[in-house]
Amino acid sequence: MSAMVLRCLAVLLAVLFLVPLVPHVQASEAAEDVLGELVDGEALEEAGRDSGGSAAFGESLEEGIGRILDAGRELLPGLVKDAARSGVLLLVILLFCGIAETVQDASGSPMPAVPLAGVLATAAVSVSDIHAMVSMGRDVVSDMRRFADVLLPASAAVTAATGAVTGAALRQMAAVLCSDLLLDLMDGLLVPLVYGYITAAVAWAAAGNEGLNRMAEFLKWAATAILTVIATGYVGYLTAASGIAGAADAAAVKATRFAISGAIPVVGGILSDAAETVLASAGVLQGTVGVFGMVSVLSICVVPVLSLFLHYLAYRLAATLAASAYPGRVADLAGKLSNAFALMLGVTGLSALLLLAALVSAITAISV
Amino acid sequence: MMQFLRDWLLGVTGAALALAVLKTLVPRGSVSKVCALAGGLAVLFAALQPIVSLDGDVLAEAVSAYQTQREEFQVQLQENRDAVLGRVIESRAAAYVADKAAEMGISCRAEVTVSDDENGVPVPWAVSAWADWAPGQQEALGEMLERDLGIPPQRQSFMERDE
Repeated sequence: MSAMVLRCLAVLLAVLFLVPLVPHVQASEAAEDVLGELVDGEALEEAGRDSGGSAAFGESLEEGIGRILDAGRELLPGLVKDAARSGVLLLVILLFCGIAETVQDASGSPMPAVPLAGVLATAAVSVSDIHAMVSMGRDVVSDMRRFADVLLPASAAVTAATGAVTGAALRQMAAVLCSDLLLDLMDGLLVPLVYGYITAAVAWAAAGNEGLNRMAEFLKWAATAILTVIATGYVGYLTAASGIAGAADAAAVKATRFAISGAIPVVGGILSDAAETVLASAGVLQGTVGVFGMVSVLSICVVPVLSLFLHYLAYRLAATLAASAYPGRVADLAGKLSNAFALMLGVTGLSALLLLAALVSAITAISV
Repeated sequence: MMQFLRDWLLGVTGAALALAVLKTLVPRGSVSKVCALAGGLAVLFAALQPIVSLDGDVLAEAVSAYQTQREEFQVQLQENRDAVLGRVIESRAAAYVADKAAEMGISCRAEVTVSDDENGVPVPWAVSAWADWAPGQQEALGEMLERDLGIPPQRQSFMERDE
């Protein structure tokens, strides 16, 4: 008898779970079809490809990151070779300068042209690298901006469908504003600052004027400060404003739920079921759009970031290794040139951070 | 804002560069110290001058423009969300009508349109149904629509399946 009761209970529970699931699945499919009108996966993929990304809409974060790592592994030997070539050339120049100074000391006849020749040779070796890296950084920032024009509205539309309308508007506006600011600053201020820093560093290494060194340091500080202020201000604003917007959205949804509760029972049931279905479908789609966006952003900047970092490392290593054999302004110049790559790396990283922070903020916002 | 930053940095950099060149050219001694003091004051002036002449109204206008744009965008997002919700409600309500009609022995296709009520909540507003109607079926379905969905007869349309 008890086994029969258990079997009946099991069947009843199965029916109770399954029956509501069927119309719910159908409604989810209807909601997903409708939400699909808000987000065109193919258009997003195409926009990502146009900006240099390689993400597929609908793939998981693990698959996307795995693909980026595989691509990075394939390209890494070539990038290392490029960076190492410059680093080795610098090292050779510095070592030759060291040898020349040793000969000078041994012979007792001064050769004041040795440091100047070292500076000119270092500048000649690094000029093409610097132009290439600056162009690369510029391209990444404009590619990110172009991609953001397509990604952010889609992300905002889906986030708004989850009920977080205020938060969605806030995140999109903040990301677009900061992206535009970064793009304007890039051409109008940051690139001139980087070139100014390099010029001042080269002039200091050639002339030995401490004022030029201080000016170079000031320009580097100014560029770093601008990037830091933008990054800190943006993340801080996003965090604080998202919290406030979340409270406003929660209040709006509670008001809507209260209004629904006053409707005719059948209508109220349809309304609340539809709202929950849209919420659930939008939540899933929000995750999909967010993952696609993150993988795209990472794939757009993986090569530039690797290239900049490897060049930074190569120049820094050359300066460090040569400093033991030939300490002086020429070795310090190589170190300062590596800072220029670090600045461009910071700019590239910031452009990616703006989009990533907006996407992560949208995904992790608590659904109302 | 960007132009302001650019002008400021260029001014300070130019003053510092001029000071560096001056210190290189001027011979050591009391003249060099006087030049260093004058140059330092020039750099200080270049650093402070744009800040002193900063127009606070420009910042207030920029903030106001940003807020206006954000509010407009928020309204647009809300409208999109309401449109999505409305279409799902229409789909669910149409399915409900078809299910209820089937219980009455009526095989029909229904379309429901929604409209915002006084609280701004989208509710079923009008219904159109297509079927091969038997006598009395339209009245029975109409009563159910008015009772369950609150749709009065004047917003109910019954048409033959071929229409």
